[in-house]
Amino acid sequence: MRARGGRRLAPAGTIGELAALALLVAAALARPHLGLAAAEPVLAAGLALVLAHRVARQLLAARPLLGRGESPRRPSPVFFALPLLAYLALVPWSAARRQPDGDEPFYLLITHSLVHDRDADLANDYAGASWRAFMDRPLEPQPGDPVGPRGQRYSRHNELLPMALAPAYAVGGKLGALATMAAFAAALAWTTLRLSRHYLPGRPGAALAAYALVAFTPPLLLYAHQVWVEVPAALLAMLALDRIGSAGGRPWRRRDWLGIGLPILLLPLLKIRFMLVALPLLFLAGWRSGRPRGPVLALGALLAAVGGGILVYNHFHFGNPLKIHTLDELEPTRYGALDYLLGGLGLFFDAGFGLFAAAPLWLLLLPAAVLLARRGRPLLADLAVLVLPYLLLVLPRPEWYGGWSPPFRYALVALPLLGIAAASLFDQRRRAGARFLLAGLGALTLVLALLWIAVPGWTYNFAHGRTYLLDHLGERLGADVARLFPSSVRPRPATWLWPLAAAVAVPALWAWRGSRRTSKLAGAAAGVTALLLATAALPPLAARLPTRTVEIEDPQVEKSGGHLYPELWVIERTRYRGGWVLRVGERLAAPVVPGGRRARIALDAEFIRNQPVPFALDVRAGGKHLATWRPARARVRERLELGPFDWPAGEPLVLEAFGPHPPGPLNGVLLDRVELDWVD
Amino acid sequence: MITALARLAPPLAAFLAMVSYAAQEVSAASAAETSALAFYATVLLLAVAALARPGAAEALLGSVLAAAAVWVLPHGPLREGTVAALVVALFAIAAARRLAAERGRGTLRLDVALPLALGAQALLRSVVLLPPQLGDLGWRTPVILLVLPAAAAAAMTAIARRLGTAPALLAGGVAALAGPGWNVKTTLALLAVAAAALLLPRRWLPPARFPAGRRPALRALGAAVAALLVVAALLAAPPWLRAEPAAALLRVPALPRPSAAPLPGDVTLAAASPVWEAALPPARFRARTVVLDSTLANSAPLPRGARVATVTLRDLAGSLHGFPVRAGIDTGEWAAGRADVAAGLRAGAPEPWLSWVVGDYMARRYRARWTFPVAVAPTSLRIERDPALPPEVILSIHHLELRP
Repeated sequence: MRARGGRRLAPAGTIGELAALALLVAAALARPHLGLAAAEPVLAAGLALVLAHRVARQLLAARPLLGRGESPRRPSPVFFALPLLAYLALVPWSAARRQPDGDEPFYLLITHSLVHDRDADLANDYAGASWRAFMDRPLEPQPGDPVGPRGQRYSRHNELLPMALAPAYAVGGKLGALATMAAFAAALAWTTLRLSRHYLPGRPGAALAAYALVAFTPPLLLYAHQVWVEVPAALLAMLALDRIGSAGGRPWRRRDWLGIGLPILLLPLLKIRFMLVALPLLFLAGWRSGRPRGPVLALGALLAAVGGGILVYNHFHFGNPLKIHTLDELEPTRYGALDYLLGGLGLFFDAGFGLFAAAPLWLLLLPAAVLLARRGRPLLADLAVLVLPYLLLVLPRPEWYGGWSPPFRYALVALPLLGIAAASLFDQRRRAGARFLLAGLGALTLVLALLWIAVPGWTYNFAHGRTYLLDHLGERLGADVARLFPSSVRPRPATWLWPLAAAVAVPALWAWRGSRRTSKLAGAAAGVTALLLATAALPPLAARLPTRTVEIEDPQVEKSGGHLYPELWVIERTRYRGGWVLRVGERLAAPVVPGGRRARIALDAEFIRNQPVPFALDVRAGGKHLATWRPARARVRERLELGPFDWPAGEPLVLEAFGPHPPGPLNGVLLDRVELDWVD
Repeated sequence: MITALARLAPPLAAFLAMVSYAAQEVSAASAAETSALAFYATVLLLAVAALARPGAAEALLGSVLAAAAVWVLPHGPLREGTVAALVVALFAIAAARRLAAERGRGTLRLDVALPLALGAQALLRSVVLLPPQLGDLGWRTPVILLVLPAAAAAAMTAIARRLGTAPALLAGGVAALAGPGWNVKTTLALLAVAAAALLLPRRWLPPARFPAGRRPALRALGAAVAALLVVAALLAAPPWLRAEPAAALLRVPALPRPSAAPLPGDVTLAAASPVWEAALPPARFRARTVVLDSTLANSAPLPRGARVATVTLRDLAGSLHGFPVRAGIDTGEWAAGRADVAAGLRAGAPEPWLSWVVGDYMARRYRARWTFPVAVAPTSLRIERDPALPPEVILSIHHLELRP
């Protein structure tokens, strides 16, 4: 890097990193001797911290490679190698700790079939358990996967990504495929840097900030070593956008055809929904590159041919032009405004799937949006044209959150432009408010990134309104922590309060210039202190805010038995409200924080009759009996309105099912939620 | 003033974050540990903040990382070990960066020596910051944590003025290593050296010089002492809590060789389930040593040396190699750190291998080693609780390792 003009790294820092590395490796080898056999995730986090330190120093040292004026058209390969090495360093740990999930195993199975059978028929692969080559969990065909006339089994997923993975898979198996995905992600980071020159002209420092934000924070850091089509899709889209920006008003050359046309045509082959990214790209190609009518018309015709070809192919092979989807799903009026709002807020704010929850540093998008809106930069228009049609399709759907995936899956295609948008704030970074936010949000992002790396499974949340992390805290504190954070799956006051508060507070804080006396340290220290004080407020808030809703299935509710409903792995989980089945002889106790002396109770429940015998459900406040429900109708969702009752402070809400229990399946009740209305 | 506040605010906020977490925790044992770790980590983070270079990145980031570790990790040795390793690393980094920044700025000053000595004391005498000593020592706690290190810092500053910073740090480091930390003897010794340096005529002393760049032997010695101090600080920290970390240093094994740990997790042997056995996969080595981490519960009536279990290895030839696990020698009561339990223990308890906070006392885990006269190739392993034990006695095996 120095040969290309980069700065020299301070030797003391390198010695420190090597010493930390040596100590961590020694600790890893000696962990049984130290009595810390279960310390692997902690050691992984420590190693990731050393890696983060090294990457940060390399980034700063590489700043001169971008020059002082215009950013280079072709950034140094260092900016490709740096993220690639970082991602590859994470692959062994991540792959060992987390089995492929969601769409991943199916893409790997197609890749396996392409490599070993030279076809996409998976029947022999399912029968012969070829999935053993890359995972331990048995893999079965997905519902709706097409079956050929001679019993062939095809996947609903396209073959383009597996074809790209096949060479490396043939050489290195699963690790080879993951390394290829890491290379795609590193190329995406490099392309972000290259693309920045169109939107951040003459600001190489800001371009570097955009690059760093995209490449080294979640969600790309999480997707970089996993098999999802969203990363190559984003790469194709950004390659096309970059070439559109470079084409200017001149006639298209062969390179332009290749740089714009090829990605646009490949996008729908990657996944049919990316047609809604390809079409806006085609529009931008016409709009931003001097309205070249001939090339755009020709490209449009080719895209129509590709799209039509896919539909015809699907019709004959799958019996449905859209494979498992229907045209109804594309009808925008099928969904209400609330669906769009929840999906849109969820993509950014949802505690389990939102961008800001995965890496809070991305909250800088809020002041950046204000800045871009005021200055009318083309970035905002390009971002809107490129991703709005696609997001309008995705947002209102029940699976807006992705599905068995890390956060922000469906909007990943917009990530590079969002990174560039956030970096437009770069020139204001010395403000006191900027230091405050960068330190506070940056520290939180680092801690969360270490956590996601150390425990990769914690980024694969279920769509039930909670997260692994919040469940962990809820169990430790015996309180409903999840209700304090937004969820678009299980809407609650926090779902609306957080976006409103963030939309006001973050831009306002960023605008705070501070006084001359406010030192560099003071702004950063205030940010970290505010973060820690907010953290300190969390347990008392969770424990003292009056209980208004009890979600029975949550971990802070103690159960003597019963089971979750619907089961954890149910498909399209957002179509269900979660509940708990309580059978005869079982009880549960939910902690209640009184909001007054008396409460009305509303209980949503459904009687499940398995035996022709009486059944009853006792409702108690600790030991104090409040009511007994004796349902008459089975399989009917009922809402019981009880009370008001005097509520003894500190007592939990207890629900206990009882009745005769002859041999065979027991009677029970499906309990959805309890609402408490404090009336006095 | 603003700078001082900015330095100290994050550690104090981290303290609040940890204490507020402890106040709401369901498990009393975990809450006690969280509170103890909050105090321990904050004392050290404050020392780091005071010592750090302008910018205090170590203190800012360290405060967030310490709070996160306390919030996320489960109660027990792992959490204590992680927090301890973190604060040791932060303090080492802060000290190294600050001393490097001080080069060329004259001899060691008191504003550098004081947080250095206070932090080193908190690390090397960390047992004073934890229950039960924190509550038991009374007025001696501030003497140990503040007065002795302040005196040591003053002594190092005085030595630095006459002999230079490197010899002063070296003298302080050796004294801290020998202590461990500053006790009355090491502090007096350091004060004596300082007095000699101040009182002896200058011509009898080597010339003061900083840094030690031209004295590579001294520099290498300083680096070695610093490295030993880091390891000693780790050994003195929870959950290892070695009273004599310098002596324990000598017993730290060389880099571990391949070993086998056949236990799937903790195994509990009670009257109802007295046996655990498993077939062993072929190992790449022949086992010579067996290491066992275990605890007893309800073991008060057992006399010292009573057999509580037998560990038996079967080798390729079918021969059996066994050894007894004895109360008070190879294992002991997990709650032996509690005064009322300790008073009733007939067997006593061996030196704990790990200790961690569970209330106003520490839970303990014990380690025993057995070496065979000749190396064996084991094919199966059996641990059997002694049938003669009273039914309420429970033996928990936490770790079992076969070493070449």
